[in-house]
Amino acid sequence: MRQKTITIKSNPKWLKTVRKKLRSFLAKSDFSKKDRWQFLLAVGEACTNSICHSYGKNRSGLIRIQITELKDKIVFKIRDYGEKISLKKVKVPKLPPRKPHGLGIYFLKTIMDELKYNTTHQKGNELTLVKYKERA
Amino acid sequence: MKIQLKSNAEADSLILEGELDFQTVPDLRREFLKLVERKSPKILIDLKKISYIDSSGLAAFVELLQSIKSYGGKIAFFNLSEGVKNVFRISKLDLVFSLAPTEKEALSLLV
Repeated sequence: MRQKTITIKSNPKWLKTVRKKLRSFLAKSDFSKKDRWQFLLAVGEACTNSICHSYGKNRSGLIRIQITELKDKIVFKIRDYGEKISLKKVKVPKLPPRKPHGLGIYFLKTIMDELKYNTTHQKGNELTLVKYKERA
Repeated sequence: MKIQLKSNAEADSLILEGELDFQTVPDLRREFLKLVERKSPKILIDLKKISYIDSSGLAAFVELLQSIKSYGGKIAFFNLSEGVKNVFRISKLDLVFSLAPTEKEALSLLV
């Protein structure tokens, strides 16, 4: 098992740092180049959701990204301590999109095998994303 | 994120460089607004040096398309890396936008 935790503030200027650290972690994994690219996208979208929807204009909230690579899968947990996300409002857009919104959640659902929002924490949200490795 | 504008008689070309995400997309929107304000009829976007794009970047492209459609403008993208092309494919925006391997071919799609 390999694990890494990245902690950032809810400021979009840190998205690049998340990608840099994630690239470095993923470089040692046995996922394909395409998968690695898509994980950057999925984690980036999840962090952007926390920044935009959980923290709003607050640029100093905490976002913790925990990456765990196991024998058969990789798990990303994105935890924030902002406003709870209303799952009723999370709508997947029809494609191709006519409006320039809602694509982020679509990417998460398409790229990952499992997606689970935990909003039962006293404060904030925890999104768990799972991708299983293909068996040879 | 670097944005370079090259204009000639055939089209306005934007050469984008860097990573396109929620942080950098406002710069791009400002450039798009300038093109829309002067009703640029043909816009080419070179994505060769774009190493990352997320839904914020795609949203800016969709907004631009909606704006230029109002006056009959056209847009095409070229030099997409496999990663960037894949993001267009996942969102099915490859069915909406004109994508081409080269600038010449992209220009031919704007006729």
